[in-house]
Amino acid sequence: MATEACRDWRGDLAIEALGRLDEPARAALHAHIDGCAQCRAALAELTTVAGALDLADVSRIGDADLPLPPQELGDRILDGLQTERVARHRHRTRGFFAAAVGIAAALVVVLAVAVGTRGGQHGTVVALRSSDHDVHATAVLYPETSGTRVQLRVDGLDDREWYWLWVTGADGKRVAAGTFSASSDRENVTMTAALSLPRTKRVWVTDDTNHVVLDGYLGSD
Amino acid sequence: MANQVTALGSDEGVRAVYRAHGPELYRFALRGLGDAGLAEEAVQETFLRAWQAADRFDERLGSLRTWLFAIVRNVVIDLSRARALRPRVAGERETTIDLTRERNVDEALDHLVRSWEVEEALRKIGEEHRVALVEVHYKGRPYAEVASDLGVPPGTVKSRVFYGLRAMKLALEEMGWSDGD
Repeated sequence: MATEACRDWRGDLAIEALGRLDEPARAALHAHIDGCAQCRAALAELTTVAGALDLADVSRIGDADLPLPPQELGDRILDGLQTERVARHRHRTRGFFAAAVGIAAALVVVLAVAVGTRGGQHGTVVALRSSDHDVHATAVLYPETSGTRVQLRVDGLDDREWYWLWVTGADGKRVAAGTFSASSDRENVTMTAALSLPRTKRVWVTDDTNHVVLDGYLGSD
Repeated sequence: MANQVTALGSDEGVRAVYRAHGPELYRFALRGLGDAGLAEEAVQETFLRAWQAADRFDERLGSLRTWLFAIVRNVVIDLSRARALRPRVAGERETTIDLTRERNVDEALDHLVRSWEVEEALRKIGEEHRVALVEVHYKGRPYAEVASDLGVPPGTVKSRVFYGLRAMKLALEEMGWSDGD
């Protein structure tokens, strides 16, 4: 393809790669490439690219249909990383508390701090406690018009087991945010419960036998 | 690229990486999951996993973009499987990936990634080159007819197809494709 003599064949090579060259032109092209290693290599290269074209759904490439993420997604990513930093910090210091932690303690220990405003949205971080020292979790709660969005970060739950995420209001009534299946890796779950954030007092997780495996209370308003 | 990954340790660095790759990752996740909310979750999880594993990124093995796409691919699989395990709520759209046959998930994701990358490459090449490829290849029209419609010589359409294919090759190579792909 590098020689000037082959330049005139470029168009035919491309059309041939697409399988659209008419017979007279095709015969002439192949008469040339039979004696031209560079054009044979070029045809092979173009044919490979042409083969990839069939993978695309051409109806999807219109710019007007190009979906964009919501503007606040970048801020939410930073919020999530901040949550992770908090969780890591608590994980490092958990040894100090471990001896005192039991199932009863798990129901009452409260660690809640409010993180700063980012992108106009407040996130309330709640560290969840478990009687199992291998389980670590943090929830970040966001106010939504439909209730409270709970972004749960948890690791150490039994792989592939089902869990229920709940929130409880000041009146003691529990509201389900949803269910999730744990994986062996760290789990990131986002669900929304139909209970407003100001009324939410507790975030907790139960297993399929209705035992509480994670629990955390929000601080006083 | 290594600087970009190192920069994941700072908010500004994360913002820079997000600006460069976030929209692409979102579109890919949306294509795979068919749900905007899940796609947003997938991008968040991708950045979290990248942040956690930033010290394991080796630019000699591939670009940051390729690395992020390897991560989001796994995230999409995880989210698709999690969704497949729970009951579908009314009005919820089905995933793009057929998860009813578990063994086909990886194959389906690979196909999805490659399809999406070819579409992204088509978006990146010049308008004239894309039009030539769409008309001649996807619509199957004779190049002479296309040339007549466009008011250009047939040789110009053939030339645009040639440079379009070359541009596609470069765009795909930027996404980590090699000659063996």
